[in-house]
Amino acid sequence: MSDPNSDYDSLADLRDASRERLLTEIGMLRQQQGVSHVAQMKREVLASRDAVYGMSAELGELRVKLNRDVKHAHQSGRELGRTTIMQTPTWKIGKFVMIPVRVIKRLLRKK
Amino acid sequence: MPRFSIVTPVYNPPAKALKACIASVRKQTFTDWEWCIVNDSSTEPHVARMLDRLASQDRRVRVMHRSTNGGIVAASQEGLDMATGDFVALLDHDDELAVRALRRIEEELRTDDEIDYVYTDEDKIDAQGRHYDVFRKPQFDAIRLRSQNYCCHFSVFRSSLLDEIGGFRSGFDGSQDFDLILRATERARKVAHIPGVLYHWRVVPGSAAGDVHAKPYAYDAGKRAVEGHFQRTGVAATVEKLTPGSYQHRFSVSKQADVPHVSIVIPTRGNRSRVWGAAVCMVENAVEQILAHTTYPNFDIVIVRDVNADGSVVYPFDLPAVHNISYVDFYGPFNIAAKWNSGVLASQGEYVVILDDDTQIRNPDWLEQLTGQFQFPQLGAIGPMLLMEDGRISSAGIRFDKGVHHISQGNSSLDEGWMGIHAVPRTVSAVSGSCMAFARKHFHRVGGFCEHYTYSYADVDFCLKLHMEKLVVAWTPEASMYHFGARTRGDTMAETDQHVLQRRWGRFLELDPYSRSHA
Repeated sequence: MSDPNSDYDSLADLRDASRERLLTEIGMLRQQQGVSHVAQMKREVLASRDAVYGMSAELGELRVKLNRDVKHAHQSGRELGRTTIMQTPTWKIGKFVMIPVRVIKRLLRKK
Repeated sequence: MPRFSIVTPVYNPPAKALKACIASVRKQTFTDWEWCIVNDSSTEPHVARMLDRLASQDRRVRVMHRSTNGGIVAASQEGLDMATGDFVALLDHDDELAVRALRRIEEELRTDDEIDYVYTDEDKIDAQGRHYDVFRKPQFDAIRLRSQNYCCHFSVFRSSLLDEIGGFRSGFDGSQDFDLILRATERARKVAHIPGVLYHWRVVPGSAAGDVHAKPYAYDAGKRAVEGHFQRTGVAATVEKLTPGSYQHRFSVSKQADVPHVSIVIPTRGNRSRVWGAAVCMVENAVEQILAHTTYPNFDIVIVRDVNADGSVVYPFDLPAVHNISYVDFYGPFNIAAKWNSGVLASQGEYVVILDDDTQIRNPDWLEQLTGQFQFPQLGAIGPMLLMEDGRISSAGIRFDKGVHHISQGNSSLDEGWMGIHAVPRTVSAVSGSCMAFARKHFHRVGGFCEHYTYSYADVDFCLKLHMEKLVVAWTPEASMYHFGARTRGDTMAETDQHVLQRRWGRFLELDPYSRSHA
């Protein structure tokens, strides 16, 4: 039985209208999901790019540290070599033999 | 090995100063130079006598005596015409070079064949020969050069570049070197700065070194030089004189159709606080001021608001229902970088300004001044002058010095600062995220803001990523706003933020190339 005030003339129309409404809602939900999916993907693209920059920056940082450490190691090596040489008997004898020369030099400088 | 031609126009220098100038050149440890001296018809008899004696003693010295006084531009140009070296160095008749000046420049030039222009640090010498006012200059800063001839002395140009640009131009007396430097740096393949005081500028009565008001005509010529620079580079800006030696350039827009769309992204929790004694909702105040006073015709505002899991706003606030305000809901735990990213991704503008909600604009044309600078293609991001509630400076850019510091924080904003740093736009290492403008394309190129930072340093990290892309970060006093403190995110600092910054950029945080001696 149809209601004279209703917009729908029959049950079939009512069914169709409900179906239409449902389909519209489903479409909107899908669209929303799609939008949020796209937004999420955009965020991920951003994060990936940032990660590339971050890794590149960290690599640069490690390179600088490595160079600094290598330089430091070379310097320490040279220091160690010099100390070792200065502890040898040859160096000590040489130093002893050169004492008069050093004294003369000092005296000349004072004059 | 390059050969240097030192060019010196001479007009009535004191005998003592000229003698010291001559001695400083002859003492140079690098010896392959020629000295092109143009006596611009000096009336003091000692000048011609001293110069002729010098030329007879040293074959590297060539002296030309002009029959009439033609002024500094004509004399300098004659000196350039005499020069046969690969590089031309400009030396004033009463100034001195450091003993190793040419040697250091030669060493620098050997590092790169593409260097076309070199400048060094400088200081001043008083009448008693005492050195003072050491100016430790920044790395080459094209933005600052548009407002100030900070390169000045000691300037050395590749001769072929000077031939290309046509040397000095008449009509720029007193600022002829500024005009030459502007034109040279527009064309130079590379510009180098040598961080060392290699030039001593003598302060004598009537010289610009001692009194900036001594040569008012030079100030006018400088303005014309800057205007010429903007015309050649196709930038629409009006130039005004600021203080002697400094020039202001401002941007204006007329029609909506002409201007790019700007999105202002404001993350907020909707907090309330006291501003000048009155309790206000921070974001309501910030937006109200923007809508009421901003003259820029094409902008929208994106509010990134904190939302509970059930969809309700954490601290509700009320903004006008206007078409150019939209909202982005932020659900996660506090992360300022994530909020900025969400806001920027939801916005549409060609340029984006991220803005804290605890700010208040001071000048209506703030957006014109920020976005106008993007006419220079190498600009990556720009920030305005941020002031505290009491009018002192909160941030005039960010500098690195064994950590991250806001430039001039706590200083008076009425003071133009050392060498005018508060008065002119310039390049900085970073600007605060409390207000930062950038192009959307650059935001995407560098991957937005790093979300590994929770509270701090995402802005600094962003700026350093822009530097990696050979883009510059600038600061301008032409746009200014109040920043009422860390009320957006509280005073919270995360130790992890510091660690991430160190792990990525530690090598840059030791020393700042744009902020040596705070200048």
